[in-house]
Amino acid sequence: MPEEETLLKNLKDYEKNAEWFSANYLEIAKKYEGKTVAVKDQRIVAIKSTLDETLKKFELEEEDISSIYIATIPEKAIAFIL
Amino acid sequence: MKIPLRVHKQFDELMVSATAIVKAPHVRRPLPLEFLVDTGSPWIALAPRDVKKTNIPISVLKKPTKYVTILFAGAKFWRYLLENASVYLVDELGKMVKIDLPMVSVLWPTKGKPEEFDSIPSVLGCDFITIGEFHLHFDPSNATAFLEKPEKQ
Repeated sequence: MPEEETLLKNLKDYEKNAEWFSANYLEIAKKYEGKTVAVKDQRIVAIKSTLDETLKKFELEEEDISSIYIATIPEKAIAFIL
Repeated sequence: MKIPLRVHKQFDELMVSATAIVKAPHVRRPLPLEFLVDTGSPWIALAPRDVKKTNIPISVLKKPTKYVTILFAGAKFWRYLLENASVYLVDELGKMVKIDLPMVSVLWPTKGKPEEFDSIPSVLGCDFITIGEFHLHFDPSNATAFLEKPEKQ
């Protein structure tokens, strides 16, 4: 697949996972506060203590993470004012 | 041309995010990232979490002559420069849009463990909106947002 087509597919697949995560955020955040969660094909495929652990897991499994949405859930008491 | 943005809530806080890929020399793994649209930021900037995801080697990046350190999300960060970058997004018709930028800022904490900052998002700042010649539309009441580039006559 030409590079631009691959980038476009990855962007669209990632966006679907991001949308799914957003739609289910409250439930996910309640269960996995402080954890790093990975979403692929609109389902959770990994829950780890840190982002580094999550990236290491996919690296060891030689899994392509191009369309996987990975987010670290902040603790509820923390709000970011950027 | 319009680029839809995602309006979502993190706990009770409303946020507007864009999905984009940054390609540049030293980006070893160009993959989609989530950017918070932040008109309070002068620059598009990659947060530490996305530096890790894209496997950017911080040590080879240049430091700017101005604003070497910045305050962001209550912490202090070194600012590095990812030069000659291209940012890819998807428009409302499902077509890819590419915006070339002279640089993207890369943030790394001046102290503390990088994993302490893994919740902090990358930001899509004013340089991206300006160089891309976008208008930013945000309607929080209807939870809609998009970047729009008017057609040139």
